[in-house]
This record gives sequence, C-alpha cells and structure tokens, in this order.
Amino acid sequence: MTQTLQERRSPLPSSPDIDLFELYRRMRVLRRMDEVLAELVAERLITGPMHLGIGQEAAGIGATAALRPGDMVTATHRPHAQYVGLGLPLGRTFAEMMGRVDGQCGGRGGHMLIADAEHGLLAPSGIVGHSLLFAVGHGLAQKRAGQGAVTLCVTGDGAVNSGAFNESLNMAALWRLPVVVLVENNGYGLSVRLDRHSHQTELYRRAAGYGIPGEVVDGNDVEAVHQAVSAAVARARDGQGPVLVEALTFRNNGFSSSDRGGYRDPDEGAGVTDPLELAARRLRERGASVEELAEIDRLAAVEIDEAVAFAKASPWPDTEALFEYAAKWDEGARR
Amino acid sequence: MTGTTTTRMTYSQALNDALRREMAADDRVVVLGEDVAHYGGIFSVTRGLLDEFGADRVLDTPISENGIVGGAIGMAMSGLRPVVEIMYTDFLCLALDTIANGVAAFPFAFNGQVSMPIVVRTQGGAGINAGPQHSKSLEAWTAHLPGLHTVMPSSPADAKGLLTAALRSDEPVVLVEHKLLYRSEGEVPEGDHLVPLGTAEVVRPGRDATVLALSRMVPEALTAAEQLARQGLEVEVVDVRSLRPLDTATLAASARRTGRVVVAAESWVRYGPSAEIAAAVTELAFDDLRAPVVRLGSLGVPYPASPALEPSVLPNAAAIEHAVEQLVKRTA
Ligand SMILES: Cc1ncc(C[n+]2csc(CCOP(=O)(O)OP(=O)(O)O)c2C)c(N)n1
Ligand SMILES: [Mg+2]
Repeated sequence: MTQTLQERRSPLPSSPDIDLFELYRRMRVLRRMDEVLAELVAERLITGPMHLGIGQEAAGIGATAALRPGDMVTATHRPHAQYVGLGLPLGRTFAEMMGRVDGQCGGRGGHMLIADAEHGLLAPSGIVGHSLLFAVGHGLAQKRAGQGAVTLCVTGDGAVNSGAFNESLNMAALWRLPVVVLVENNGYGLSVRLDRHSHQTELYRRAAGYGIPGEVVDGNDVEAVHQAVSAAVARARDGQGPVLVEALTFRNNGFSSSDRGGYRDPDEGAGVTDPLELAARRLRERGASVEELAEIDRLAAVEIDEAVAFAKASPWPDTEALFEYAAKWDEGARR
Repeated sequence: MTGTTTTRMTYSQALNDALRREMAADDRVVVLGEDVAHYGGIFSVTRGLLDEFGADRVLDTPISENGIVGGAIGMAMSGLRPVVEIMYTDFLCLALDTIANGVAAFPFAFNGQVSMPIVVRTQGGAGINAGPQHSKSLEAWTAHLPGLHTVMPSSPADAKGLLTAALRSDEPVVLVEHKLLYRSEGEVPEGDHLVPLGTAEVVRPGRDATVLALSRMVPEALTAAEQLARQGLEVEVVDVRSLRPLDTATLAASARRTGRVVVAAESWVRYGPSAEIAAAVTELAFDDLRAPVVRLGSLGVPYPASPALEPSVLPNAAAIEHAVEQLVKRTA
C-alpha cells in the first residue's frame, strides 16, 4: 500500500434485513461507478476491455445483500455489482482498473479479474463458465467445513450454454452443495439474442433437469432479487442444496467498450424498468423525501470521486516483480 | 495462382474476402461461431456473410467452444466444409479436446475413411492490456499435433492467401490471427490468391543475419531490419507463417546464408514455437551457424493487464534490433 486508505466504504454485506435505502444506495454507487468508468475509458485512463452493467444493478446488488461475512462469491467478466455489493474498497478497485499498484491485484488483473480474498470474492473470471466451476469447489469446501457458509455463483444467460454449466449444476446438485446460482439474464450473450442462443428461453426451467429448485424474479426489482436470493441462501445454509435463481434484466450499455452496435432494436430498452428509478419511486411511496434521495445520490458521487482520486494518485507498478517471477519459470529471462 | 492486380485492404477485409469468395464458389462451406452471423464477428471478419449466404450457412452459436468444434467434426464427416471462429485463442483451450482427440486424429485413425476439411480461425496475442485471459499466444499447442496445419498470417495478402488455401484443403487447418493486425493495411491480390500451406517466405533479403519471425513479429522484424540497415547491417527477414508443416528448407537456407539466426515469436519462449524452429535450423544448418540461435518471445509470466507492465513482457522491434546487434558483435 502506498497510500493510506481513507475513503468512504460500503458496509460489509451482512444483515438479512438490509433495507431498501441501503440497497438503493449501493445501486447508486454502482451506477455512478459505471458512468465514471465510461468516462475514464473515453479518456484512456483505463485501457483494455471494459464491461459495464448499467441497467443491471438490481440483480447483482440484491443478490450480494443476501450474504454474510464468510460466504463466497464467484463472478463473471461483468463483475462490478459484486465489487460494490461486497464492499470492496473502491479506491483500490479503480486503481486496479487503471493498472496501478494499489489495485487489489497490483494492476495485473484489470477490471474483470479483481480477486479480493478479504471480501469473499474468489473470484471473477473472464472465461465464460468459470464462475460455475469454482462455485462447486467452494461449495465442497464449505460443506466439509460445516459452518453454514454458502457460495453465490453469478453467471449469465450466455454462460448457461457452456459445458461448465451442465457439469457444475450436476455436481452441485449431486453433492447437495450450498451454492446459489444467479443467472443474470440480460437477454444477450454478447451480441447474440437469447432466442438465438437458447431454444428454451425460460432459463430457470433448466434447474428441473438437475432436480433442484429454479425460480425467476424481476431482476430490475432489487427487493425481489434480495428476497429470492435470501430464501435460496437460507435453504443452502440449511444443507438442502443448490438453487438456481434467474433474474430478468436489461443491459443498457454496449456489451463492452468495443461494441459496434447494430445487433439490437434501438427501441428495445424503451419499456424497461430502470432499477434505480423503481427503487426511488418505492422509497418515495414509503415516505422518503426528495432531499433524502438526493443526499444518497450526492454521497454516492462523492464516494466515487474519492475512489477515482485515490486511483489516479496511485503509482504505476514496478516491472521488477515481473522479472523476479520470470526468473523462476523462465531461467535466463531477458531484461 | 496469384492475381495480377491488387487492392489495398485491411487484414480483416482480406480474410472476409477469402471467406466470401470460397463460400460463393462452394456451397459446402459453412461458417459458424460466436457472434459471427448477425454481428459479423467481433473483429468484423464475417461481416455481411449472413446477408449474402443465409442463415443455414452462417450460424451464430451458443458459447460452446468444444461443442462448436465437435459439431464441425460431424459436419466434415457428413460432407460439409465448416469454418469455425473461436473468438480468442484463450478460449480455444476449451476446444482442445475435440481438436486433439478428433480433428487431428481421425483422418489417420480411421485409415482414410474420413477427411477433415475444417478451418478453425482464432485470434491471439497481447498488446491491448487485456490481461492474462485474453492475450496469450498458444499456437504451439495446436502445432504440436500431427495431422493438423497451424498457420499464422502476418499481412493482409497472406491472410487472404492462407485462408483460401486452408478453405480448399481437405486437411484441417488452424489459422491464428493477431488482434493487433486486423486493422493493418496492405496490397492484396484480387481474384484467386493462394499461399500454399507449409511454406515460409523471405520478405526481406539480407546477408548479415536472419530473423525468423511469426505473425506480428514480422512487421516488427522489418522495422528492426530497416534500423539496422542504417548501421550497414543487412538483415534477412523470413516470415515463417506455417508452423506445421514447417518449411525447414527455406528457414535453413537463410540460416546457411547468414550464419546468424534470431527467432522472433510473441509466445512465451519456453516450449514455444521458437524452440522447434531453433531446433530445426540447428539440426539442418549447424555447420554454418556462427553462434547458437537466439530466441525472442514473451517473458515467462501470465500477461499482466496494466499498461505499465504489459510492454515489459512483450518482444518488439527494439528487442529484435538489439538481439541482432549483439549477435553480430559476438560473432564479428
Ligand atoms: C469461454 C469463453 N467464450 C467466449 C468468451 C467471450 N465472451 C465474453 S462475454 C461473452 C458473452 C457472455 O454472455 P452472458 O453470459 O449472457 O453475460 P453478459 O455479457 O450478458 O453479462 C462472450 C461470448 C469468453 N470470455 N469465454
Ligand atoms: Mg447476457
């Protein structure tokens, strides 16, 4: 660490009775994070591929809110909801995305490979299907330890067609592992529309083939996701095995920073519920004032600004470590 | 078989041109892969093919790499000529089963009852800060398999020529593109243009030293050669371009002419293609070599994402230039 971490941090995911205010706050931080990331990519302060999740906040945030410390999370190439939902120190997270030394992985991993052992994120992976496989292993370890810990495995609608999905779901079901599989169904695997990559587009139905419960929730309703995943987590903690939860959502940005577009109907997003708007509307209905919500938004922006400032001030990693590492595996390594 | 007039186009366009021409000429050619149809491929190589040839010849597949290549085996055995796109060579790892245990093995194992006219196009290489899962060069893995061609075009003309040859071949071919080459431009012969599989090419003649280069290291080697020419060193650059079968005759002939050899390939040095190339040249030209073959490649670490780290891992023109200088100095 070259800087002292003095940034605001999201509280650890913990209590099962996290309220809508807190869920909304996390979604707002996540939204702000992705908006700022888009700017940092445009300014080339972040290079390399970037996968944002604007419009998908409720699924990831609702799900991690069902966990408690000691649980595990495996994630995908679109992992920012897990970064925010698990309370990763976002200054370090931005630093990682910018390739700086204070990143969780010292700049080696980049935006989609931010492992954070302390926060139970082991790990996101950019290879489609990996999150499912790792979850089986965590589940086996958790079952053996017998402490009631569970694994949340985040995956996508595209990933359900990987061989890994079949292999993992069967093993998890066979061994009754404490694994909750969250399928973030945003209707596309990269550019390929759901009905062009899957004949059975109701993905939760696949659970039946493994003899485990499967359910579908409105993935833009953070409370609905939180509830569904909490119930699944409780069941898994209780030793009753895996559950598949399909969260229907919509990706309101390109699949990555290199999306050329042209593969979806421009009006497609028109009728879609924005998860933040929905949560804000509900909060207002339950008596929150406009000012209170504005304050959450303001604090979210401040949190992200501070994180970015931290990251920008972080030095570049030193190349020396590369040569030290290579000296073992690549004797006579060039300098 | 090379057309006389040329057009300036990018490496992606040249690949697209080859696919379009062969699909028009032979309706057994079918393109399949992730995002290849409606989107036109993430590197635009298959753009327009769906509109031109229809959905039964251009298929968007689920994210099922081993399934796609496995399916291609069946297609080939049933008389089709599948062209598979595997988006990143890093994901080709998921299809190594069907490639190694099926594609490369069956024509021999079934004693000639089947052929495998399958082309697997994939894309590798570093240089865009994409990190350890999207930057590798793994061509040695497929080049290790008897029964399978592995080729790596370095220019738009060769991209068209090698892909055309691959599409016409009844033997399976893995064609490895480089992500940093897609936008590179060059003159490409119009009409029929074939570069025979299994041939290397001297792309710049010279007498003082040889650089045997692969894929993106070819333009880097040409840049180095230009720099070295200013110091009066004439460097011969040979584009290896076919890893297997390896054109050992062309490589060794150059080695014999110059007596000094540097192999430049982006992949990791240990157990990489440069090991095989160096061994072949040493076996065939040992008596004329004035020093052991020098190998340049990536440092032995998983590719880091940070823009501050990645360049230190990669070979480039400056490294090639330095290696040749040192080699000449040592053997003066
Ligand atoms: C094994 C593998 N194949 C292909 C890819 C390229 N790729 C990255 S993300 C993606 C789409 C994933 O779709 P989905 O699971 O629905 O997640 P989403 O991007 O919609 O969040 C693809 C094909 C990959 N990373 N890994
Ligand atoms: Mg998706």
